[in-house]
Amino acid sequence: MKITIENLNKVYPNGNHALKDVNLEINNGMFGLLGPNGAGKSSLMRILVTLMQPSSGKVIMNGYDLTKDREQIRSMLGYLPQDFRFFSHLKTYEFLDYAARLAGMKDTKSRKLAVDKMLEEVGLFEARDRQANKLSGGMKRRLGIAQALINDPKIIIVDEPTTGLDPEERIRFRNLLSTISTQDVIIILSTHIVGDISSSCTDMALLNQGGLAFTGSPDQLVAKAEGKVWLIQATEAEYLEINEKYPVISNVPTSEGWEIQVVADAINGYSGENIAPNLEHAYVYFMESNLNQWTAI
Amino acid sequence: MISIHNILSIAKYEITTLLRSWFFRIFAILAMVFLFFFNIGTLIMDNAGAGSWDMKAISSVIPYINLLILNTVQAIIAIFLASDFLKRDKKLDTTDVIYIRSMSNGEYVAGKTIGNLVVFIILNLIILSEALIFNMIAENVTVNWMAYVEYFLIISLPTLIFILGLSFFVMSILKNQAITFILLLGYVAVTIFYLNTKYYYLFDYMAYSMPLLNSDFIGFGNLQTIIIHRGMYACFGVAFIFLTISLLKRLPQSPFSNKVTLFPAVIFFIAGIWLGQKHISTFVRNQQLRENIRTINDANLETLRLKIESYQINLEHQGNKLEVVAKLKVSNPHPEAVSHFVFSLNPGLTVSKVTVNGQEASIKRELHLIDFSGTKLEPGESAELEFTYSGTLNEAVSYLDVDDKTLQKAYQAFMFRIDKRSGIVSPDFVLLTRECNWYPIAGTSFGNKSKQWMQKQFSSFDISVKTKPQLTAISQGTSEQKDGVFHFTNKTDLPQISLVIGPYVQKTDTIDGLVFNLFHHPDHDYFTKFFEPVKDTIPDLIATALKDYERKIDMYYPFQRLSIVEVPAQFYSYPRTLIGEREQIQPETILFPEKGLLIQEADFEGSLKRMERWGNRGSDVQTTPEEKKIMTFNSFLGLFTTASARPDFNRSQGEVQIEEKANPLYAFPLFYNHAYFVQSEKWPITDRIFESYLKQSSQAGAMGWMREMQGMTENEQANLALLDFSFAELLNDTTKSKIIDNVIQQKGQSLFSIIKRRTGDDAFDDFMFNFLKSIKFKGTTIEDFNGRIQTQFGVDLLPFMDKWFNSKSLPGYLIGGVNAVNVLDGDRLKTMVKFKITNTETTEGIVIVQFRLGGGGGPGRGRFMGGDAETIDKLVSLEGKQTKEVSFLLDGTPRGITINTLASRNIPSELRIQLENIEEDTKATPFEGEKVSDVPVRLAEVGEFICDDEDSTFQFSQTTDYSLLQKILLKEDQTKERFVGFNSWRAPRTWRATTNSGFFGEFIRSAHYIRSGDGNKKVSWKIPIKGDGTYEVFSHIMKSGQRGPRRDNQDSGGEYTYTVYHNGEKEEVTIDLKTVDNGWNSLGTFYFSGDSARVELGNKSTAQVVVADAIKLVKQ
Repeated sequence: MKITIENLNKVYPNGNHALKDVNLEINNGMFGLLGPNGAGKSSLMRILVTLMQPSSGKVIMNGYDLTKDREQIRSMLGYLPQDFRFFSHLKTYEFLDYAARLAGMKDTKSRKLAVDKMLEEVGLFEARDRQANKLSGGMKRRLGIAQALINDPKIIIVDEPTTGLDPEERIRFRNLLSTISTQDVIIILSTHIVGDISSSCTDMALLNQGGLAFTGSPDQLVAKAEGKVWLIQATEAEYLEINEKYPVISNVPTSEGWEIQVVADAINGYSGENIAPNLEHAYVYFMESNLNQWTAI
Repeated sequence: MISIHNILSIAKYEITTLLRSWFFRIFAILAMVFLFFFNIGTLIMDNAGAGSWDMKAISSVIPYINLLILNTVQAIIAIFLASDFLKRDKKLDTTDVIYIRSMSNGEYVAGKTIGNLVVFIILNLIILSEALIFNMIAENVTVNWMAYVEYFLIISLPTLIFILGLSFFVMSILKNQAITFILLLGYVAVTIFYLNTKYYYLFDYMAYSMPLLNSDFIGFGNLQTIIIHRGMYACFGVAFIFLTISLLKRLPQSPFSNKVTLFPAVIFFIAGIWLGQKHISTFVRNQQLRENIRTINDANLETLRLKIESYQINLEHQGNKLEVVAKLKVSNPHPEAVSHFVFSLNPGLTVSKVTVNGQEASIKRELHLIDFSGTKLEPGESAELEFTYSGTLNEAVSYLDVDDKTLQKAYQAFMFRIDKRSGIVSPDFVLLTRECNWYPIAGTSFGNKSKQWMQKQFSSFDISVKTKPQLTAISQGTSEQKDGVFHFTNKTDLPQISLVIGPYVQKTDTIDGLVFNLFHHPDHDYFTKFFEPVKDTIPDLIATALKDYERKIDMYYPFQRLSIVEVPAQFYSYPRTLIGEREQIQPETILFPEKGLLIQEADFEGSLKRMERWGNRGSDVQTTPEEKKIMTFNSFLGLFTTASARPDFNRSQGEVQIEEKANPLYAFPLFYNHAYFVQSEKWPITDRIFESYLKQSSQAGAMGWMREMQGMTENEQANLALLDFSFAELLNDTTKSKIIDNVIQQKGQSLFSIIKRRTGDDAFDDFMFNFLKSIKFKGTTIEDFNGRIQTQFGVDLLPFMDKWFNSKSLPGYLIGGVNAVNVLDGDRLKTMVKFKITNTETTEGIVIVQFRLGGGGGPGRGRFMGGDAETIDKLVSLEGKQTKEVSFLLDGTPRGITINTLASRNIPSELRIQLENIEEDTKATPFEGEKVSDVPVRLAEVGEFICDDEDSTFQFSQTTDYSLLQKILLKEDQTKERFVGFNSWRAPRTWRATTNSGFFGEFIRSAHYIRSGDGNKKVSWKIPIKGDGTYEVFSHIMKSGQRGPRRDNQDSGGEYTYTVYHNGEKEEVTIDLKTVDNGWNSLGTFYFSGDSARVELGNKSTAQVVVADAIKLVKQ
């Protein structure tokens, strides 16, 4: 299973250049797509799930051309959009059955079994006869992931899947995806929550202002921020100064003032020490530093 | 490959979603509840518990109406639901997860469409089951199972496909549900209210106006038209659905599939347009054909017409075709030789061979015309012609004299519409009348100038008919059946014959030497059981009714037999201007509409139940069930002896419009039109004048209640028209066709009244009786009539007729007070009624004075009670500018007097005056007769000054009660009606004129009236006076008790407040309506100066209405 994206561009009719020459190769496993709001993640996702036509460029999915072979590509897809809240008058079970039917499950008996199994897996079996509209936010997300996973799609694309989930649900959700990702599938996870990626993705891309800022493993990204993360003990007055100059990642009040973490190439004049970066640090460093030099990657 | 699995999956969940939508549920429940009560009401409760006859007579009407009602609403709901799916798709983020599934856009839209359709089909099934249950519960109605399926396929299905497709499409384009909904609602409204019957129902997508009645004889009768029309909408619907697929906001499965779906869209559009064009072209072609035929007829204006002595017709009915050989014996009745003559034959019948005296002749066939130019006939010479022809009928050539607008007007009944057929040739049913020209007729048919067609020829008819073994043929004459051939022979000549072939059951009886036949559909015997208890009485009832009617019109039934033949409900006839008979009445035959549909008198069960309900309340509890059934039967017989049908009521802009309607089943043409004919080249209307004169005695007087509703009767409207146009002009004015019958009647009545005045009543009646006897089954000319009148009475009618035809003047009468006293004439107490009458105009005229005697009438008087109240008619004739004092002596005590001024300037044209509390006058000298007087009737004596509301000095505050919107929407003329009806519970908000015998006036007895209010809407009279001085002021008030049987609550009280302006001051005078006298009431005595006095009346009153009539000042 492989997705190749070549010179992908998307220009909206209003002139917004949402994707700029994106080149990407995605292989089996879980792929994280990180970027701030408006970076072009959703545009890329919607193109990948055949909801939107790219302006130019080429996407080949498992040997199929995205613009020509939608029939084959669609039959491989599972998709959970960012917003997944409103349903017409259907029950939980019915909605999943509807998705299962359209995912190609024609046999009534096996479909019924599959739907029940999926409902069990996402913990909605008890809620199977409830109106989908009346489920809680978390339950709706779970129904969303259930419909995306029904009939074992080869390519699963989830957009901001953990938004609105409580921590326990989030963990369960990540684990579910991780389990699936071990099979011969591609899972693309778009998010602006760094934690989602650090904990599950083997590969990732960083998207900013329509362009790719980074591709590689999360560890590679973290490595880029080595020596750029500082822990500073600062007074009240210093804190205000630093806040002006550098991106502050965290601030903890202490008895003397503040213990703050900043991302910067150097901290001139302040007393601080380098600490080991994590993905979040790396992400902020990437966003804050002069991106121009990175866009070439 | 199209995946049925995907389509069904989408459909399944669309259905689930829609069935759960509240909008749909509420609508479905409302529809069910509404139709539940509608069915209970119409099938079970209505009509005193017998159920509505309109609904029950023909059982297919039940599913028809139910679906019609449902369809009108579902067409609107479908717009909403259909546009909703695209809106949902736009709004719901969950749609994305459906859109990314592997299915084509076509499958998706197809699934959604089927889902929508199925939901409505479910609703249709529920509604139809509901109707079916009521159909089975209701008494005396059968179930037409096929109709349930047929109406669903014809009404609901194409409507839904079309409106769903259109809604999808418009929604795809506009992408806004609200705008889509409003736009399409507008479209629905326009099609229902404006376009409905236009362009031959072309825009009637929901089959709301299309005639769809399903007859038990011939089914729809217009099935081809229906299939084309409904097919057109189904095609357009499918085309829109395909367009929707290509417009769907989803990337298609394959890059070019959006364009692929355009292809079927175009194909279906073309198919729809083709069907639409086919639909229209049939009508346009027919219209063109009618025009061409009229043109050809006019081109043959000079072609002389042969006389057909006899017909010998051999007709074979083969499926949808007729095969005919017609042998005609013709002669030349003209003083000169005829070498060019024509015959008319329906253009749908192809002539294959024509022989003249056994020799094949060459003829020219042009449309309907068969043109002979190589044959010459010397005066009086006769020849044998033989026509061999076959084919079917083109009904477009019937009723060529009827204008297109009338022709296209829907034949509407209750809520449904019926197709209009003038002739039928189908495998199981045939209906042919002279109107469809199924046998050769000498000369041309109707042309704009040619009047030849209405000149009747009496011929001897002999006809043989061969048809399918199980069918019966019915025609005029003695019928013999031999080897499957029906042979009809006639002893007398007839002006025309008809032929009906169908699966009939015949019932025959001979009553008083007359053979009565009843032919009915095998399933339509709903009467035998009903009349079983009184069946021995029925022959007597028929004989009595016939004799009564013969006495009434003073003519005998001219035929040996009378057949009533049930024919499909679609058989329709138009009232004509130039000829009096309707196609329902054929010689010795009445073509009776299927199961008496739309004929209340044929609803025997209903009549009985109504009687029982009224009877229990009224006084006649003693009536036995048998007597009630006899009354029901008499009421049914009354149907054939009543000239007018139930009038049409229309409510437009809140005002009730009533159109007087002639009864197409009125049997009079059997007595006159099919046995006599008076021809006139110069005045083709002559025969109608004779007919109208002979008919008149059977016609009821103007309907009093109608005047009250409408303001004027059609007779009065005819009179108003005759003031502006001559009779000749009116006859050619198609816009006046509504009143033309009244004009003919008014003019006819005055013509004959004038002859009668010169000849004497009885002498003329005797003359007429003998005259008719001598022309029976032959016909004659007006010149012959005039010759005989001249010989016998010395009156030359012809010079008079010219004037009578072309004059625009009418007499106008002033009628003085009617004085009735009891006087002793010898030793008998009699009532003497006197009044003075002046004809102020130069045209001579005649009035009929009618006295109503005895105690007849009163509440409960109706057709069931039999016999009209006894009346005595007297004629008074007046030369121009003549005044007469007339006095009548009556043996009985008259209850009232009606002075009918016929064609005159007077409105109301009939003055009805109650004669109450007649006292004995011992001094009066009994006298009967008339004296010419030099002193005309004066409305005002010397020293009396009157201002009437018709005078120019009478003024009223002009206000309008129309909103801006109404002003825009109301048609100009609707607010301009000169006189309105008198309606105290829906009185106008502005001063409007209304007329009544009891009001004051010169020719027009009118008053203005208004709904009571705050007093701001005022009228003022400016009364001219001569000299300063003291005058007593009177107001003319008609006591409403005079208004006839209905008591207005004006009597129960109220007051009028007049303001009298006198000598620079003003004074308010209040008149209590409880104590007023009928006529002039004093408002007091005042001093006036100047040349006029002013009195005002406002609309403030506790009475419902305020009436302003006339003010009189009397110098003291």
